[in-house]
Amino acid sequence: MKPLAICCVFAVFVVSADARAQGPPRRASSADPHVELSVGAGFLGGSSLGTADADLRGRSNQPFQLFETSSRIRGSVPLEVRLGFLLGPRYVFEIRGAWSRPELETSVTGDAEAAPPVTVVERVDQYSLDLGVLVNLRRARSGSIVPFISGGAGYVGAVHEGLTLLESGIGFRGGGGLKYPLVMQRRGRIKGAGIRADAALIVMTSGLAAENGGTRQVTASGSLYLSF
Amino acid sequence: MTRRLLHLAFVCAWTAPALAYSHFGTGVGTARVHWTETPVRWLATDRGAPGVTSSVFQTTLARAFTTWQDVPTASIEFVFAGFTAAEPFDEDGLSVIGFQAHPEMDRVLGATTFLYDDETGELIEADIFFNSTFEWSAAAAGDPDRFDLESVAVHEIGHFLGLGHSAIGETEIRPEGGRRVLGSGAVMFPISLGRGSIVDRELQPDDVAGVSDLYPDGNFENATGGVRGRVRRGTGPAKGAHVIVFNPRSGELIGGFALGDDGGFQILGLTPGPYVVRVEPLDDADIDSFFTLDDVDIDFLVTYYPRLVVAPSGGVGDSVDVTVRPK
Repeated sequence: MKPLAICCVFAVFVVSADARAQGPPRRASSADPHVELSVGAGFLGGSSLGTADADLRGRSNQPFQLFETSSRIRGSVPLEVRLGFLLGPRYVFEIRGAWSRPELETSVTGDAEAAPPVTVVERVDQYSLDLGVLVNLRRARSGSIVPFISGGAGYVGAVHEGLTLLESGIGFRGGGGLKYPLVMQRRGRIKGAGIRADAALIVMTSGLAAENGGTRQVTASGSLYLSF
Repeated sequence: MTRRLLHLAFVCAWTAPALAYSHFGTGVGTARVHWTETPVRWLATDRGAPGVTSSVFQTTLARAFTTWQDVPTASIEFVFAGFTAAEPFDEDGLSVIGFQAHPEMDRVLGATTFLYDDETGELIEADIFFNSTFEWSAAAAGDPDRFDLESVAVHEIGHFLGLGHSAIGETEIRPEGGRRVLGSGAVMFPISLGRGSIVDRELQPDDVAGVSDLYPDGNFENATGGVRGRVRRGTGPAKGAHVIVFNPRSGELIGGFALGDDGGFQILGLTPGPYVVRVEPLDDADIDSFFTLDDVDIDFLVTYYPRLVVAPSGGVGDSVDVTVRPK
């Protein structure tokens, strides 16, 4: 129980400190950071891409199954780059790019001629580029955690091995995270630095997504950021 | 120019196998058999059969022609040129379609013949007969006791266009002889699903890919892709192996044959994307339903290529080698 109590006290302190910081809005100056660049990596969860039967037209209008398939996209490690334009102390307009190399996997079962089950795979390069908004839930202070929520939408593309095909679609992202400023200063080109953790749900509606609806993937990442 | 008459007995009532789409002339060192001038004119014999008047026969055939003409990715047109007293299979420069009684062909519902230039593959004439020994129906919903004229007509018109048989289908041996279809994945499968079935009125992806490859329209070649490779058994080719590709996203099932000297195959007209590749022996029907080769290998197990194979947009992917194991 003791660690929990400490956490609660910490939370209360942070919230009350933030409350104290609320006052007349401060006008932005040239000394405030305007741009934030973050680079990181994480985990992009796997997701089902649906099932499909290789059906023939059978007798009496009943399909005859030649075999059945179940497809999914495996988890992968994405690299992420974000470029944020600070619109004030709370709002950030972000451009986010990510790249990962997941494998598409299709399991084949139930062959009509008793071929053994098999899983066939193919590696793809998956790219995404989206535009979004990040909202800091409190002002950044050196040494204090800043929770935020973020969301965006943009392009998701997949290049298959050998650069033979580009599939593209639309992805929607929603989530949030924490920032922890390590350095904040009003002088110099670099105005601050810190670490950032993100978690989000990504919904793809086309491209690699299943034909019968959106494909959902959970992503979590950690980044280092610099403010300019 | 050499004019050659090719006589093919196609839709069988209950005998024969099926393969993915093929073209006449492909893989045998000749040009592909096809029409070069459209609209293609066809005539109907002014004679019906029990249950089908000549007028109903003509309108049913017109619908079947329209089925092929309406493929959005293919460019081919037909025009009905009138009724005629001429008979199918006469070498007269006319493409005549009609009923004929051939009781000796007791498993053949219909057949198509061609007269073509064997240097260019240009079709000069094509005739279709429907065997009036069988009982036919042109009813909208079919007749459970009769063969559906429109379904068989769509199949025969596929040959009329220059398409060969598809092997996408499964059959079983009937105790009394012949084969029974368990499932068919293409109108161009050589064996009918039987009396009452009207499913072959509707083209399947394999049929569409075949006719679009033969008569490509507009952006077809840029908008579709292909897969290619070889089927090997040991150090040699598995000649004549049937290769099926399946798109798990669209459900498309399209086939081809390993007809190259090295067991090579190529399947075009695919929606771009990743495909499951399945190779099977041609053992669901008589091999000569598909082509005339002496060294077709059917002594191997059904095999899946261990990776997804990508059909790129506007091109053909890297060649894949599928190694099959003997039975």
